[in-house]
Amino acid sequence: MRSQALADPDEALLRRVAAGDPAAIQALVARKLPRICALATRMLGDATEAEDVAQEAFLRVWRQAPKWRAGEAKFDTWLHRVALNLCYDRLRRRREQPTAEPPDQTDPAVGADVEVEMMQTSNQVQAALDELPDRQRDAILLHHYQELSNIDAAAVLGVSVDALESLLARGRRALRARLQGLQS
Amino acid sequence: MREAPIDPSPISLERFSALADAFGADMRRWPEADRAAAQDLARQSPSARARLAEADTLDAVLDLSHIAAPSVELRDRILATAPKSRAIRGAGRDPASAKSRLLRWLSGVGAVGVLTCGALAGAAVVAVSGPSHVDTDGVAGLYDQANSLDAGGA
Repeated sequence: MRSQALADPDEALLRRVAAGDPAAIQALVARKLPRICALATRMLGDATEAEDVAQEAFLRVWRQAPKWRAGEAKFDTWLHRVALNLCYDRLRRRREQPTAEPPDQTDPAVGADVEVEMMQTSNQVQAALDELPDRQRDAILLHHYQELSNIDAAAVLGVSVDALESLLARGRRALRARLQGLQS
Repeated sequence: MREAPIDPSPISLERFSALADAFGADMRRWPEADRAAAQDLARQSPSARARLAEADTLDAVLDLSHIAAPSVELRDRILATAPKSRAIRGAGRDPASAKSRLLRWLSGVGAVGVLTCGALAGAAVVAVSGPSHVDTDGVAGLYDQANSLDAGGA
């Protein structure tokens, strides 16, 4: 989007990646991989599929880096859009070819009860997120978990900031109702 | 004409609540245009602070969702796909097309070799047996094979 003439914090790093600088490539992976994995895991509820999405997203990064035109979009916004689209593809395939087994959930850590409890709570929150309409869930993932600014989250979703505000408000309202037990 | 009551703040409690409902308790994440006024209202209004506290509670619950950090193996797999410095411009080409280029080159070399050998052998036969029909079907067949190899590798 041309309207985003803001400084891109990833631009210099991306230029070095495009030049094949190994340190820059490592730095970019360290900076972006956890974010992309987290987004894909929350979208898909399946760590293995999320890893596949992350790998595919980075293949696209390597292809795009030499062609990147600074000032047209923020790299982080573009990368989130790529990851989100890869997740949508997988979710669409799942709907078209439903499987009997739900995706594997992360195994709770063996041992301490407190860790098991934390995992259960985490799964409860994830389940509440999964129940939201897709656009509301995506808005919350991008804004709350990925910590994108409202402008960037709106850009990734292709909506206005006002529309994002509405998606977030409705999503959070639904979550508040569903997660009441955890709020006390 | 009655004067409208002067709002001490340019943002209403209703708007403040809507922002907290949507963007959560961290006002740094709110739209920039509303931020300063919202901070003013939060300082002045206990009701506004109560709305922030509600939003903060939901933020904290959402933060109970944990995602494991990506594995070192995944990081290494991704790094292994990264372009090397001299090859960065070829990053968009996949290994299959590289294989295809190699096959094309090899088949070209093969065809030239066969043509050369065929020409030499033909010359020898002509030299020994005199002018006769020269069968070029075999050479044409090799061309076909080269082409099909190329197509198969593409």
